[in-house]
Parts: sequence; C-alpha cells; structure tokens
Amino acid sequence: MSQSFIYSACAISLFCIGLLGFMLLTDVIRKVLSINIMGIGIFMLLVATSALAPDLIDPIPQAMVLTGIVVAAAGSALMLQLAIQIDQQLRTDKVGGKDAN
Amino acid sequence: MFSYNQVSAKLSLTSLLLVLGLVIFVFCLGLVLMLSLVASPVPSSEAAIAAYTNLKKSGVSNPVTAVLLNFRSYDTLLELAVLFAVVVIMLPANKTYKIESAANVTFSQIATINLVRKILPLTIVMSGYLLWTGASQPGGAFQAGALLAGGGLMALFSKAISIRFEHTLWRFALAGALAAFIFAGAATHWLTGGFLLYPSKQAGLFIISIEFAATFSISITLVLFYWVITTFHLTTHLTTHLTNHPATRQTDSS
Repeated sequence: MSQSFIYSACAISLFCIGLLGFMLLTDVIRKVLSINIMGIGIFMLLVATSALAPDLIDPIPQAMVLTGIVVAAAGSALMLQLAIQIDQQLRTDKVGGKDAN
Repeated sequence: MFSYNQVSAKLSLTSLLLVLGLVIFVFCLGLVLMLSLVASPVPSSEAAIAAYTNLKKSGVSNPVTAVLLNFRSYDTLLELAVLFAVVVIMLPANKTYKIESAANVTFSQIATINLVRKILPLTIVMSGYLLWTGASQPGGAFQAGALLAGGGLMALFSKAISIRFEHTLWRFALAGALAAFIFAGAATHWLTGGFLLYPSKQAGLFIISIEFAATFSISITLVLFYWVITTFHLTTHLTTHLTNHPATRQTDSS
C-alpha cells in the first residue's frame, strides 16, 4: 500500500464520481462541473503515477498535466459559454415566440 | 437557472432502474480500474531516463520545463493553438461591460479599488518570479500566467481597470504566444534545419522568450474567458431589463 497507490485510488474514485454526476445530473452547470471533476481525477492519476522514487519524478506526465490544466480551463469556459447560449434560447422560448431582446 | 427539475421529479420505475443500473455500472468500472492499478506492472521509465540524460543539452535545469518547451515542444505549441481557437470562438461574445461613471462609485468600491491597487503589483512581481524560477525549480509560464490572470480578473471585477479586448493591441497580446512559438520554430529551422530543434547554446534563450510571450498570452486569454462568461449574463440581463422598461421603450419608438 504505497503512497502513490492511495493517490491513484482517490483519482479513480474522483473520475467515477464525475462520470456518475455527468450522467445523472440534469443541470448544465452541474454537468460542466462533473466533467471538470473527471478531468481532475485523470490529472491526479497522471501525477500519482509520475513518482518513480521518493526524490525522482517522471517529467513527461507532469508536463502533460500542466498543459492539460490550461486546456481544461479553456474547455470549461467554452462549455459555460454554450450553457449561456442554451439558457438564452430557453428564455426566448418561454416568452412565447416574442424576442426577449 | 438551467434547471429541468420538473422533468426529473417524475421518476418512473424505468428511469429509477436506469439510474440504479448506471450507478452499478460506474461502481464496477471503478473496481476494474482499481484492479488494473494493482495488476499493472511498473510503467516503463525509458522516456524519463532519456529526459534526464539529455537535460544538460536542453538549456534549463528543471526537467518539467525541459520536456514542456524543448523535448515535447510540439505538444505545447498545439496546446497554445487550442487556447487560441477558443479565443477565436469567445471573442465575438465579448460585449464591453459599461463601467459606471466616477460619480456613481460608492465608498466600498473605493476601498476595493485601493486594495486591488496594493495587491495587483504584488501579483505581477510574483508571477514574474514564477516565470523566471521555472528554468530551475517548479514554476514557469503556465503558473505565472494563471497567477497574472487571477490578478487581472480581480482588478477588472473591482473596476480598477478596464480592458477592451477587441482592440488591435489586445488581439496581438492574445495571439502572442502562438506567434512567438511559430516564429521560434521558423528561426530554429533556419539555424539548425529542424523545426523547434534549438541550437544547444541558445536553447535557454529560446525557452525563456517563448515562456515570456506565453505568460502574457495565457493570462490575457484566461481573463478574457472568465470575463466574457461572467459579464455576458450581466449585460444581457441589463439589456432585457432596459428594453422591457416602459421609459426606455418610449424613447426607442420616438
């Protein structure tokens, strides 16, 4: 039961929580958050497996995580933008064909 | 907002079974992944050994920065291209949020602006330190850019500064990292004959210049994303409110 195994197990649990949330929750914002939690689980797994020895790290997974975090932030911004568009569409529909703007 | 609770409240037996099935499926998936974690042999560290043996030639002493901007710089170039693609999508949605005139600024806003004016220089200094220290210790363009973006958003939300992203100068800043990377690729092609294959003596200089441009671009990109998302709603709420207001409707028709 090494330290890296505990972190990997937590990462897998996070991924599963995110997957379940993504499939079961109906709010768009919560879906976006669930996808983020899944992503964080994968990053955590990569960081946990990058420990080769107590003082030695594998730099390649760490570099992948570093770029991945920024791409994930951009992706969630894009998803939130789409969620806003969906909300706008729903709001104009609710007015009853009348344009809200 | 975004809630369809009326639909999900009527849980029939089939949908309950579906939910139960999904929960069991994800639980089993987690178990299989855990088992694969136990059963998997030690991952091969050939790439890590290659990274460590060539570290002296890379121009920096931090192995993560060396992988990021030298050994696998293609990855970073494409990652910045992804960021730029999202910028291209998000920029049209940016409506510059009208800043209230100075007469409307309340006392608490003055306090926030003064606080931000104390903290913002510290953020800039700290991100400069993170950028510089990335060559030898944990740090680098991404961390520095994220910190700078936090400072920038804080200043924007407190209305201490305003950024008009659609201006040419800011557009240059948004595209800066990708442009610097491609320019570096062209320069290395001319110098050594390989795309992003740095000459061994100037490798450190190439890396620090790309990182400098990337810090600015990443921070402004992140500021744009979260500024657009948060203010888009404010402006649309404001405009729907104003257009539905009888006073403004009268002025529109006259």
